Amino acid sequence: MNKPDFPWSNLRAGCLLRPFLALASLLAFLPGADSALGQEPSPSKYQVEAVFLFNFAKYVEWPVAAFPAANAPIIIGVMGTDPFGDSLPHIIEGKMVNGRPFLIKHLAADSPVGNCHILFVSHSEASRMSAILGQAGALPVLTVGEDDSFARNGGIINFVLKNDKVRLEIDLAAARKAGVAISSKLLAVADVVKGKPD
Amino acid sequence: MLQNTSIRRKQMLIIMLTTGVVLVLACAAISIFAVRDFRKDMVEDLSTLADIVGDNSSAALDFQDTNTATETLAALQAKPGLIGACIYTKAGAIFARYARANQDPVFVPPAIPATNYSFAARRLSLARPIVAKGDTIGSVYLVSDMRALSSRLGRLAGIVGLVMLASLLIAYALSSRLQRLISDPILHLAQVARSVALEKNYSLRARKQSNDELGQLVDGFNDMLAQIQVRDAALQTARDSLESRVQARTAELAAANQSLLAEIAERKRAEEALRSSQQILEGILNAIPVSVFWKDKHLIYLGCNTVFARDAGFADPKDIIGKDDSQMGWRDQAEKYRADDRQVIKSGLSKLFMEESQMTPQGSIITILSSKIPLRGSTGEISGILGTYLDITERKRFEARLFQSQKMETVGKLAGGIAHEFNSIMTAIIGQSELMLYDLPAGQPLRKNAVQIHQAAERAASLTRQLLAYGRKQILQPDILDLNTVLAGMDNTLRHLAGRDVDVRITPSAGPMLVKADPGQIEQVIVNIVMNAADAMPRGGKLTLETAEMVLDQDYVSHFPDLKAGDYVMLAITDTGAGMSDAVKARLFEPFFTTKDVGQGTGLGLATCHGILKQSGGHINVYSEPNRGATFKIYLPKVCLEDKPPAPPLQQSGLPRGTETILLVEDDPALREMAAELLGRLGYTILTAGNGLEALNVTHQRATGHIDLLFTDVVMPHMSGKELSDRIQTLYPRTKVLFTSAYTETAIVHQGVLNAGITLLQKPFTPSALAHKVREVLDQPATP
Repeated sequence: MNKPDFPWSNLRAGCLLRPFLALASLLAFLPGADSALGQEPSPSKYQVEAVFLFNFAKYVEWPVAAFPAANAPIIIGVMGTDPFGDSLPHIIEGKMVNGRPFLIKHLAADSPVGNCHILFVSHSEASRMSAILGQAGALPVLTVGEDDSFARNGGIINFVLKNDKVRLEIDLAAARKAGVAISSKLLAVADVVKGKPD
Repeated sequence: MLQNTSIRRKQMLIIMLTTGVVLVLACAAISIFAVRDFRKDMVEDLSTLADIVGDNSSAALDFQDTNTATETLAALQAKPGLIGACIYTKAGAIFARYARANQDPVFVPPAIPATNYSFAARRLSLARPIVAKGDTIGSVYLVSDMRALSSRLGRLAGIVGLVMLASLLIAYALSSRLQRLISDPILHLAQVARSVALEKNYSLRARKQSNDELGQLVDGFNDMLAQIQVRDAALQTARDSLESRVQARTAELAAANQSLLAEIAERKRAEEALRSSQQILEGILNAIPVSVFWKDKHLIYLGCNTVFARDAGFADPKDIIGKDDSQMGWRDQAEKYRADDRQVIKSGLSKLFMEESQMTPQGSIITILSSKIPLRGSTGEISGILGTYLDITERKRFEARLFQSQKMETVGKLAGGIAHEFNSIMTAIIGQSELMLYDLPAGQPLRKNAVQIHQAAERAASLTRQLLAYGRKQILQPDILDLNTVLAGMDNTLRHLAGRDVDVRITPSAGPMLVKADPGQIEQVIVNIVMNAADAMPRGGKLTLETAEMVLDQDYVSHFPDLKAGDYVMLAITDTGAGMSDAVKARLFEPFFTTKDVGQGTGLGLATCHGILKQSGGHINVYSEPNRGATFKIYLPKVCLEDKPPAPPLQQSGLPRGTETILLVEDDPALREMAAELLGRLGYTILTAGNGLEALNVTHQRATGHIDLLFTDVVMPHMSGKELSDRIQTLYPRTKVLFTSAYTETAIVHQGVLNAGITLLQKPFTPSALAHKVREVLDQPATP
């Protein structure tokens, strides 16, 4: 969260403002305030992944046809067991990327995925991964998964743990197949892999 | 100091100063803006870099890929001047960092990233947010050193300096050319003005070089010069006319001055003349022996001359001014004088040359010749009185003496004239009576008559001689003689004359008393005085004759006419007789004045003495009082010649005879016949003539024979004896000459009684005197 912004705090006249700064600092530490000061306890894996889910929207571009309207929301679909709990709604609340708000949809295993833009396929759905991904494979949906089966079945972005850190593996072929463009910046922080052999 | 520099220099200074200041200001402004731009650029550059870094790091940050972020930051190694970089998470934690090696101080990212940028400690630090798709996900923090800025600033400074230098040079070059547009006309104007001032040449003109204000200035200057020229000309004209007027006026003044000077000189001359005439007047006033005074109408003295002041008892004429007669020496008679003065003032009539007797303050009676005239002022009214007087007491006395002497002279002339005529007659009578006595033998009764005639004639002749002597018409034969000797020779005679009862004493002074006089005459004088003295002492007394040398001074001789001052020999004859009263003394020397009874005296004795002494240049005076006797003093000029001894007395003997031929010339027939008969009897051959012409005729008629002697009267009609003698002597050079005369005032006296070789027989002469004289002359050795 942003700390309160006092642009004049650099002024030489800051001596006068010092009490306000102190007050601001004090406010920042008040209980109930947003955990803005980065000393919060390390987030869990899913909390990180929830943030990543949201962040994908910044580095991926969907075809225009994927949205019914210019301000149509980006729909994040969660298929399978939702591991994020309150994190994900909390993250996306009020956020907009490219003028589009976010919307979370919990999908059943057989539910169509066509109207989702980002589809997290939970580890719970590993058995039907092929089907799910097959269904979604040609659709402009950025699929995100969390296990090896996902990657092997043509999933686009897969969360992997390396040195206790969540890292990304991206299958560019799958992404191309789905028709979503992944930013090079995202690619720079991810491992590009070849998941599903052709 | 700027005031003294030239306008060109001033202009240059102004331009260069202005240009320099403007350039400096411009360059400063440019530099300031450039520095600001540099900093802004730097900030922008760094900001852009930060954005790039942020953008490149956004994915790493979003997906928490520290390594990638660190790698990204490490790429900043390629950016020189970047000291350090740091990426913060959205929460503010340091996500990744980069620090350039070998930096001092070592980059340490701040805990909390700064926002915006700041220059501090020669570093620029800048923070930028990292935004991904509108979502702020963190921030990037960069720190750069100022190397770029410094180098750029250095370049800028160089460029600015060059630009300034170049600009100033160009400005100098341009202005030094362009300022002439202004300074040249001004300098030209100044130079023309200086020339005008120096040469006084107002015909010079400044050249107009432009139509701006300087052109107008030049026009104005030229106009001014033209006006000055015009005014100068007018002034010159005025001056010329003024000069001519001044010259004319000066000439007038000079002329006036000249005439004034002439007038002054004239006045000076007049003053000088006045002063000199005043001096002359004063000199005259003080030099004349006349006392002069003048008074105002109240009879107060206004002035006088020195003589008057002395009379009044004052030393200086000024001392009497303001006084009146009561303060004068004659105060006792003041009222008398004042009454006299008043009379003149009242009547207005002058009183001139009045002889008045006055008593002097000393008490003596004096005679004054007084004049008083009234003084009149310019209006004619009487303002005072001028008086003069002269003490003529002495003059009156002198006049009286002169009158006396003239009276005696007149009487003497009369007597002399008579005596002269008488002399010839008496000579004839005496001669004839003597001849008669020769012829009449003793016992003849007629002889007694003849003797009586002869005696009476002798007495008459004597009287005549005395008259002649008194009348000074006798012939003097002066000689040098010693008065003491004369007295000694007369001793017996004098004692006989004085009589037995008179004691005669002769006291001659020591040494010879030489005088030049006729010895016979002097004897006559002495005899006369002694006889008078004897007459004054009928009962006996004392008679003293003494001689002395005397000096008669000027004071003494001034009392007597014809008497000269000098050394005299005095003979004083003093008796103890009856003496004389003043009245007798006054007439003592008058001829025919006698106190004796009729028949006892002729009244000619002392008169004769007076005449003789006067004729001899001497003087006689008498001092006497009644009953006190009398002293007669005879003065004769002293003679200093001592080489000529006194002549020997004549030899008295029987009548000498001769046979020589004598030419006798005499206008008196009686005398001629007497002489002719006497000389004929004595054996001489006599030729006679009545005058010179006859004498010459006789001489011519005689033709043969010699004339031995010419005996001639001196004074004759037609031809003087002298002339005759000259003519005879041309015929007969050896003829001797004997003159005879009774006159003294004719040619004989003037030409030479004293001439050597001339012998004179004085009339009247006795036959024996004639005989002796004739023989004497004939016996003289022949002279040329």
